[in-house]
Parts: sequence; structure tokens; C-alpha cells
Amino acid sequence: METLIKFECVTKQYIASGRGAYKALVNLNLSIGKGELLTIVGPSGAGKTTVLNLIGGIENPSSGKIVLPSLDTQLATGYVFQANTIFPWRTVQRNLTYPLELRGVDRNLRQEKAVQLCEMIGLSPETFLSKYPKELSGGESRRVAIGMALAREASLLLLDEPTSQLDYLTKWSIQNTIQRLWLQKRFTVVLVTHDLEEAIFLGDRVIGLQAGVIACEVRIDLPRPRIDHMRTTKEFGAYREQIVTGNNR
Amino acid sequence: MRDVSSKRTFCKPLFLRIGFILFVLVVWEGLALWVSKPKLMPDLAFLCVHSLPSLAVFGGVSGEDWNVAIRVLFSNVLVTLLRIVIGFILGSILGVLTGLCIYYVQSVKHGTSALLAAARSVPLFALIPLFLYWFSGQELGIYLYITFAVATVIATSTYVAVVNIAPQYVHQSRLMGASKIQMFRTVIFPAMQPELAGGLRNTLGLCWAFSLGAEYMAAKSGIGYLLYQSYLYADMGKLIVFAFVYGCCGWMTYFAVRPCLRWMRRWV
Repeated sequence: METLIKFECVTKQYIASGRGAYKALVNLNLSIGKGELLTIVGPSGAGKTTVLNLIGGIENPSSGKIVLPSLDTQLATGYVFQANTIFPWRTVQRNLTYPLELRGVDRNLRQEKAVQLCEMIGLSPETFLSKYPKELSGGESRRVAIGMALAREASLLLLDEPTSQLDYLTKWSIQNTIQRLWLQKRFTVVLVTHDLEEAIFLGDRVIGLQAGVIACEVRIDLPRPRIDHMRTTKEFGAYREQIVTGNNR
Repeated sequence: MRDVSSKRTFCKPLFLRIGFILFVLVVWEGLALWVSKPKLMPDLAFLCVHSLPSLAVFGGVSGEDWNVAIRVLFSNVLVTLLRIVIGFILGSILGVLTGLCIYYVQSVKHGTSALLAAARSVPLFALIPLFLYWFSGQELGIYLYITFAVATVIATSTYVAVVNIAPQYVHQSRLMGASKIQMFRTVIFPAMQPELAGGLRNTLGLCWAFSLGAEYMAAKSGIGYLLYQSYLYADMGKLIVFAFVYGCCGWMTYFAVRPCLRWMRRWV
């Protein structure tokens, strides 16, 4: 698989008041393939979000470098943040078409695209397009955030705990939406979660981060499309066991 | 079908408000009767029958004349209102631009941080004598003072409103490919509006105090000027009438701009 992003000995250090300097990532070496669905799992403070922020260019590494071997230009990146970042002052329609508006796409075309995007993310256009984010549930907001990233026509999608704080049914529904979109578009996805089941269900490869270093790396060979009842299979359980015990690389 | 519950919730605060005003009036009347010195604490009847019509004295009529008194009151309220409207609009525009400038231009931010910190500790009313000397009590001085005072408060509100915008919105916008101007138009400007609305509302209230301060010292018209004249003659009744007029004017200006403030907070 062609490498899209490569972390070469990347360290990220923060200076926090009262805590002194601490390293969120320590000499991280990681390759992300083009079209791969990589999931990163780990406890809070393991450095998962830092990995996404570095890929998205929101932060810079303290040492080491991140290279894009196959690209000369900047990646079109869609980022679904952990905190809800759909713009509360815009309706769902205007949120979904925000990237198109920035590119100066005609209003009518934007309207058509909003309907398509709304259907893609599993929301009814008639009901949702005119709503404001404050009128949406947590799951609906996450879907709109994913829709915004799709509107950007991103070749790289960064998802930071896209199903956290959601009930099980909504969680599974969003996981299935992510998988369906990925199978349709084949963009590269880096998904960060602390839900092991979600990491295995969605990922081609699962990276376990612990205190800024890779503790385990497991390739998931479950067939696609993965369906919900696979979560209860023996193979699924074996992957879980493998990641928890760190018996892998 | 009528929504009875919403009607109830609408009526309840209205009754409470009226009830509270009546309560204050009853307490006032009780105290006035207990003190029984109309020159120190006039009762409501004295205020209505003597103090209010005696405002005619500012219209050149000695004694009490309702028509002249009302004309004097309205003309002076309009003068003060004009000063406030112009000062508020100019000061708000200037304040928002200054606040944004402080946020966006690093050199301005560093240059003005010490100045702002010092300016915050100087009461704005302490600057009235300066404006009085600079503009020799001219009308321009009053306008400039209100504009300056409003701009100072709004600049701080704007800066704080922009600083408080969640960084994720800015990151999201940048990742979506927004230029700096697009980011300002689509993220910074709408996102700062709710907090700025709070600043504008408070400043609108302060505007009456700013105008009072300026008129108290430098004007030949306006409610502040009339209030000062009444103070010189220790006319307690007129002072209370003017305090009531200030209250009504402040309330009415708030209701006049409320739709605009609500629009600024529409998505909150």
C-alpha cells in the first residue's frame, strides 16, 4: 500500500503550568497508507488527539518530522473534532455546504449538494436542512460534522472520538455510516477512540497508544462490509484479547 | 388551540413586575409619610402635583405649568437621547474596530496591553474634566466624551468576545480552506456576536450615566443639565422626577434595541 503520511521519530512536548514539561508523543514512528482506515486506541492522555492535530497541521512536532511521500501539495483534510465543531450560528444546510461556500460554488448547486450530503450521512433533508445545531441530538451533530468533511471532498478524514458520549444504537449507526462512506469513497481515515470494539470493528489496522508510545499494532482481517453481529464472534474477541495483552507486533 | 401554559408563563413575570413596582411605591409612600418632610423625602402626591409641573421653571415660567413642564421635559430628553444615540453608534463602531485591531495586529496588542490595563483602572467619569477643558464645554465635547467612553468599553468587550471563540471553530474553518477574510466573515464575526451583544446591552445602560456625567458638567441642555440645576437648589422633588425619567428612558432604549440584541444571540 502506498504511504500517505509518515511519522519519523516524532516527539510532541507540552509545557503545562504546574506540571512542567510533559511528552504527549515520544519518538513515534508510524506510516499511514493511502486509502487505509487506521484506528488509534488508548486511554485518556495517551496522545491520540495529538496525533490527529499533528496530521491536521493544527500543531507542529517538537522534534522529528511528518512527511507526505506521495504528495507535493497540502492534503485536503476533513477533521471531525472531539468537541462538537459544527458552527452553531449556521443551519445544517449552511454547515454542510460551508466548504463549498468558501470555494465560491453557486447557491443552487450548494443547495443540491446539501440534499445529497444529508442523505449520505443518513439524515432526512426535509427535516434537518433548516435546523440549527442547537436543535440536533449528539448523534445528529456528529453526522453533520462528518458531512462537512465530505463536502470538503477530503482525501484524508480525521475522526476524533466520533461516537463518544452517544448511546449504543446511535454509536453503532454512526460506525456503520463511517464504514459505508469509507467503502464508497475509499479516502484515508484516521480514527481515534478509546472504545476498543469500535477500533476493531472499523479499522484495517489498530494502533494502541500508551503514554505517547505505540504499545501494540494489530492488523484486522475481518471481511468487509463488517456487520454488527461480528462484534460477538470469536475472531473479534481474539483481536480484542490481542490488543489488550499487547501481544502483537 | 391556544397554549394556556405559555400564556401563564408570559403573564406571571408581568404580574411580578407590576407587583414589585407597586411594592416599591408603597414603601416609598410609607417612608415619606413617616419622615413627613416633603423637602427631604416628598411623597408621591407631592411629586405629581408640585414637582413635575414646577419643571416649567426651566422653560422660563415661574410657578407650576403642566404644558410648559412637559414640553421642557420632552425637549431635554430628546437632546440627551440624540447625544446618546450618536455617541453610542459612533463609539460602538469605533470600539468594535479597535477591539478587532487589538486582536488581529500583534504589534497593536503588545503596544496597547499596558495602556489598556492602566485605562481600565481609571474611572471614565474622571476624564470628564479633561474633555471639559479641551472643548470648553462645547456640544462637540459631550459627543466626543460619550463616543470615547462607549468605545473604551466596547473595545474591551469585542476583544474578550473574539478571544473567547472556541479555537475548534477557527481550526475547522482553516482546515476547510478558509482565507483570513473568509474566516473573519464566516466564523469570527458571527461567533463573537452573542458576547458582544451582552457588552452592547451593558454599555447602552452606561450611556445614560456617561451622558449624565457630561451634561452635569458641561451642557446647557439635556436632563443631566436640568438635574444639576435642581441639585444646586436642593430641589429633592425634581431630582426624584429626573431619576424616574432616567429609569424610563433607559428602559425604553433597551426595548428599542432588544430585537437587534436578540438577533445577535439568535443561535445561542
